[in-house]
Amino acid sequence: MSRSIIKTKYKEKFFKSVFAAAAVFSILAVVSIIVFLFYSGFPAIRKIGFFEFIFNAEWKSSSADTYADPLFGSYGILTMIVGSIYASVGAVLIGGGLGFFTAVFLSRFCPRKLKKILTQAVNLLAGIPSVIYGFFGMRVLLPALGIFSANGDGGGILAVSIVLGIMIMPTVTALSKSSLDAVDKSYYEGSLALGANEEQSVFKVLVPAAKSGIFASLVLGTGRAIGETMAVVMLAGNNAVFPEGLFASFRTMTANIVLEMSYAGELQMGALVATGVVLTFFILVINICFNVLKGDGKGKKKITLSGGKRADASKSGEVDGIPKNGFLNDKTDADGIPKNGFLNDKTDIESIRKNAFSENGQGILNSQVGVSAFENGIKGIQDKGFLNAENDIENIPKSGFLNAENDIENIPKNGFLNAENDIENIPKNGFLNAENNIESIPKSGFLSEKNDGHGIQKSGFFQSGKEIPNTRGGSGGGQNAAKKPKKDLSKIGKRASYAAAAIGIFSLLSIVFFVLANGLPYMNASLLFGKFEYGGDPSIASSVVSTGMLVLLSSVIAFPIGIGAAIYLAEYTAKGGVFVRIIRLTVDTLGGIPSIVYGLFGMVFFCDLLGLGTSVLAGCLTVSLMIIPTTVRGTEEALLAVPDSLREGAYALGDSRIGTIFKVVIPSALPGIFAAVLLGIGRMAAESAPVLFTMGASLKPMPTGYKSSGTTLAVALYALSREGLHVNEAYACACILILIVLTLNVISTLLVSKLQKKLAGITAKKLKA
Amino acid sequence: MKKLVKIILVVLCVVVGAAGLSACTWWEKDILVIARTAGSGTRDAFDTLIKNEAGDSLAKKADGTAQGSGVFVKTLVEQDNTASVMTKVAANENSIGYISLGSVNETVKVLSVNGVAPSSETVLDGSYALKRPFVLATNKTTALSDAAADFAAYLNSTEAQAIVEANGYVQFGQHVGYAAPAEVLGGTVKLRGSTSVEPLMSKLIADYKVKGGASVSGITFDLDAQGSSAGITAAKNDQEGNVIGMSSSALKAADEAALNSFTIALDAVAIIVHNKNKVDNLTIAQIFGIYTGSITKFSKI
Repeated sequence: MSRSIIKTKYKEKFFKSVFAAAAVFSILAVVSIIVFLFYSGFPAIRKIGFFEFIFNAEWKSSSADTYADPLFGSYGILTMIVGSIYASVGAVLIGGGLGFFTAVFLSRFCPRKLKKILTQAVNLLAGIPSVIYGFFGMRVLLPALGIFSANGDGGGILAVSIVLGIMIMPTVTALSKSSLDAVDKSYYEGSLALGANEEQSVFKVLVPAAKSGIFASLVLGTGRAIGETMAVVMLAGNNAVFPEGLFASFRTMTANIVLEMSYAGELQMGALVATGVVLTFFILVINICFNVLKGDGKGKKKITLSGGKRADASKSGEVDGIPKNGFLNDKTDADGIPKNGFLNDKTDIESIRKNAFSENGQGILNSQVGVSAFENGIKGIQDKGFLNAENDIENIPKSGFLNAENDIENIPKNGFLNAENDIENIPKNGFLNAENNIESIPKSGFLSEKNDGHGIQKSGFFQSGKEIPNTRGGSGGGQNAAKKPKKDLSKIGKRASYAAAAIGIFSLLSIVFFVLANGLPYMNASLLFGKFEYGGDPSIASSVVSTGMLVLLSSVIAFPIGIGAAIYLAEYTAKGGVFVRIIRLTVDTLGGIPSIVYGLFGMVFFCDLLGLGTSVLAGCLTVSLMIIPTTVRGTEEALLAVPDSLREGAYALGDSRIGTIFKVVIPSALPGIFAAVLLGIGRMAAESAPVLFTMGASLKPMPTGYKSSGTTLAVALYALSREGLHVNEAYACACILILIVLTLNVISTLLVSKLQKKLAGITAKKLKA
Repeated sequence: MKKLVKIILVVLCVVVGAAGLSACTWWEKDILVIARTAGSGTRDAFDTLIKNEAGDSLAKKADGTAQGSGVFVKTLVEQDNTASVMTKVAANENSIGYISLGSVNETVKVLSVNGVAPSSETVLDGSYALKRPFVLATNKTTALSDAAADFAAYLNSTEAQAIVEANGYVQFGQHVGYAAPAEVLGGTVKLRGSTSVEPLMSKLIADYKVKGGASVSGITFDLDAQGSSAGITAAKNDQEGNVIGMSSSALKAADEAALNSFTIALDAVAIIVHNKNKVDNLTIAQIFGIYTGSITKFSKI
């Protein structure tokens, strides 16, 4: 073997193990976090007693408590579990509703020119730091809600639900939109072809088809809401009692950890870690539900956060049991159904001709009449029409249906007659029900007795009773019971979509405007660059430097590991293999752990156990752990978006795997990788819970190195807003923070669309914006 | 179109109604009760000092058993530092809170308690009932670094007492003068603990830099106030000998045994309300009633 081949072999092996090590690191990280949480929390639970801890409603901690002596305080987190649940439910009601309708709007109703920019605007909401939401809530929402509360303080469940709802809205929107976009186009088009209008097709066909993805997005939103800390602490009142009423002061598990972490004694700290364990447990359960709902691998539709790049419809074209071209009831085998046939539950479908309808007991097909009779009956039926039991078909004009009186001169070309022979109301494409109510008649369908349009799918007509719908024409109205037609909610749904999108955009604009308008006037030199003096005016220069130091070291640690792991997952592993699934599961788990639990882990492990103390270094290590999952996910999506043809071409030309990766795959995916990196940096700057107690919690002078403590911009904002003394400086701080974060997010989105454009040119696939 | 008009009218009515309601004076709001969070020394002092007629305090019943957390009014709002209590009280006309007297500014109104207004004099002569010490503590077993030891010596000096007096707190104890050190000191001194002590400590640090001169200019100060308990815990966990804990209430017996401590000042716990509040004086029993929810409106006082 030539030397270059040997060299390549070693190079291959070397890099493969490097990438694999990065991937394995994520497993190690999750394992160590979970092990540590249990190791620190378990003794506390044992001392307090498991049932006492979970089910006692009295939380009165004492920093003097130790593991050795009897307890002074009581440690029951039931009120906080309930508080977290209430807050999440409220958040999902508001945020899930807003998110779902916004997703529908963006997916279907949005004008093309606005679509891209509005999608980006909604995604920007996700980048706004939690402390800014809390700050905005404190200064704008609380006074507004206070008007309605008994004691004038607007905080409590309602305020927290509103703010959390807006915070999780982008998550729900992104995933729901992705699910809606992944539904096969033919469903929508078929529904339109059958006569339904736009909003009906959306709400009655598309949404039910995408429902598992939509539920998954709600579940993911719930997970995010439970894990949220800073905004909740600033708005909830934090009294550890069962919440009563919309303005009740309450405390969540996350708030409990943050409020007591700074001074907790021995046992108290263990109790807080145990609270973190309970919290993580909740979130893991939620994540498992999410994974189950969004479906896995083989044959089912796959929905990813990136917008359906990896969506594959199932091979049989199966949609909820209804074949593409047929009508089904639950007794007939779908494969036999011809494209244009209707069925009742007793008749064989081969014999249903193209233009035949049947109704119970009457008409062309009934359960008593055999197929042959049917054939006889319809031989005479030309394209002209439908028969009723009494009428001869020669009388049926080409365009009409007969009523019992056989009055056909009144029958317009395209309509049906009702018993009163009232045809002025008959729309061109509709059927009348017994009340002559045609508003509810869908464009494309036949009405059932219940006027229930819900069951009507692209490929068939059926209703919940599995009867073929009663057609108006010719039955004399005998069979149709006088039922009130169901109001078409689709129109309301459409208006709700517009409203939800408007609310989302309005929230974004008002938060950004609020911060900028109040902060820009105070961005003066002394605030930005002044030296920090105790007892003097605050200067945030040290916070800017601390943030910079944090971002620098965390990037150096997190991004190589994250990108390496992603390369391993995308390039080296068989899709669906066991190892990959373990890694993916652990990466997803890492991503689901709330940031305050990272902060807790960081404090206990990096600061105390490793002896780093409150330092920038400890903060960097904590934040790196937090950023790895998002980096892995973003990079992996970018790498997977590179079409295989590029790789295969490179192999065909003789390049090695590792050479292909470095020379072909990574350069192609580079915009996407940069986007993931920038998003990660944005998160580093925006998060406060992980650095609050690992790095420093109040405004400090300039850090002298990585071993000294420091305060990031987000934490500085938290400190300033908690005090309430230096409001203007708080606004200015918020201003800088939001400018940094928004800029990073916007550039990131631009890079992703650049990647998509680049690759869309190469592949035949049309990638969605 | 008709539907849209209807919706706009309904929304308008709701908004006008809400605005009207808020302006109405006949519907008086409940008292907004503001407290500090559990780690606060001010809260510790407050809960111990506020008693009802039967002798139960907010912390302990008369027989010595601890009160449950349900003793407080359900709508209690907790804040975790001095400044935010002041901000909240200043923002709500029907609110009440308690903070260190030395931190009070013109945005809030201070009430008399049992007929006595808080000031350095009334604290010193004992007529103002709600007072507590500012205690500074260091680790007993770990030796203090040179910088920390020198700063501690300053804190224990008559120069420091002058700063205490100048800022509205009450001097305490016998002290000696402070002399700047001969050699140049360096390193970090960490100050952890009470948000009530924090403003005073900032002033003390500034004065120390002046009094110590060039010898102490190399010392870095790290002041981080998360509440008294945080300071005590930090002092107990101190491995490097550079932590000085600040507490705004007397140390518990167990902590006192584990730490070296001294009282640097006395401070009054001031009961604050909004500037527009008509109430001027409250008895301790009334304060107890407000914080436990038996008194819900200021008009009932």
